[in-house]
Amino acid sequence: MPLTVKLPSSFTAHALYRFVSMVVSPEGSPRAETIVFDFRFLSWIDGAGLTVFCNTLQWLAARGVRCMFTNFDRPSEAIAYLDDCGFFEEYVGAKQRTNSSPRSTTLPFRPIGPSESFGWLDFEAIPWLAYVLNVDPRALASIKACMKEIFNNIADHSAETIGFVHVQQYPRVDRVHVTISDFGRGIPTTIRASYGDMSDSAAICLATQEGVSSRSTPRNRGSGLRVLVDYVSKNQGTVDIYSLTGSLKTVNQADGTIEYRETQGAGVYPGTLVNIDLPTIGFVGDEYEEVKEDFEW
Amino acid sequence: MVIAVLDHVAHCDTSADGDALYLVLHRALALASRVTVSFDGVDGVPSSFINASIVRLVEELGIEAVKSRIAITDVSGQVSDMLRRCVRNASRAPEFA
Repeated sequence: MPLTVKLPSSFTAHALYRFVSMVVSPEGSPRAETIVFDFRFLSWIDGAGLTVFCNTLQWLAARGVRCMFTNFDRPSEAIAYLDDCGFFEEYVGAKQRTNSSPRSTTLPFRPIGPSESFGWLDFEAIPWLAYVLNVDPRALASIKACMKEIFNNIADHSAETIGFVHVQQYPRVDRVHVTISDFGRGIPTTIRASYGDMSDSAAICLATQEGVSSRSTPRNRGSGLRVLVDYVSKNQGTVDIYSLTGSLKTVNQADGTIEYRETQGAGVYPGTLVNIDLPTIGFVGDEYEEVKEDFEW
Repeated sequence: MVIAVLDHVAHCDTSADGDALYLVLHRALALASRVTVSFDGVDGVPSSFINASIVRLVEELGIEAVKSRIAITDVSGQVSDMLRRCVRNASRAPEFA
């Protein structure tokens, strides 16, 4: 018998655990062979919510679950946003509105596999972000490297080796969000394998510390999440990380330090979601020199 | 001997790219007492690339030997920062001490 899942009215990262718990059992299996997603109550969805939704659909499809949609033919801002992002064209086979088109404030969701992720970064994401942040693309070398780290982690640790990424500008609040998600072992599983038993949220926090690494591959001695947090915080941005039952949010303090807020969630996200929040005003990118330097050991 | 990274790897994105550079440097160090590695054209690198290449050499030869035998040039600020972080993290790893 099909399972009906009502999408939350506000589908943001805060709804992540509740949504996934309706679809994924505690044992990590789909709750039904056929799932009907009901859009009736959906009034708002952001980039994080869309990324979680798409990642979940891909995860279900990989397990042979038939996914259907209902009540998406009503006019609403959330439906229009999904339509403009290409969601219905991708998953239903047709746009819902004849005039739907990608918005200038959105770099729409897409699956990211090992073969196309770096090309997408170089030729789509970085030029788009440079325009939004009003900097030269060369000033985004650090954030590009951080995103490459995340893609490498997906390739190394994700059960699916494919994640989803979505970039969204919010002009009214002068912010841009980059959301990357994959379904896989999750950061806590990988960290516990090297550092012993601890809660999921503590494991995520540990993973952001300098030099902490899963060592899950011979060449892995990670700085990726640490560099990401440092670089984003330097620009008055924040990083939210959700993995399994844990989450971590960075909060910039007035004295320049970073507070890490760990939380144990009321559900399980069977993978990892990273949401990067950057200001579009006052963003200070990397200094790039026309004349490069010698490295001093 | 000067080795331009982008003459030997198309990208500096992954640990596999780093493995390829490591092999080039390993062979070069067998032929020359000192090697210069140029990162000209490379605007940024993830840690996995540096760990698979430069850090692997540090683990094999020791940091002092690498400092005396490898000069690294034409680095951007991001590449320089990543090199420093990765080598520092490697020196803190239990198996390195």
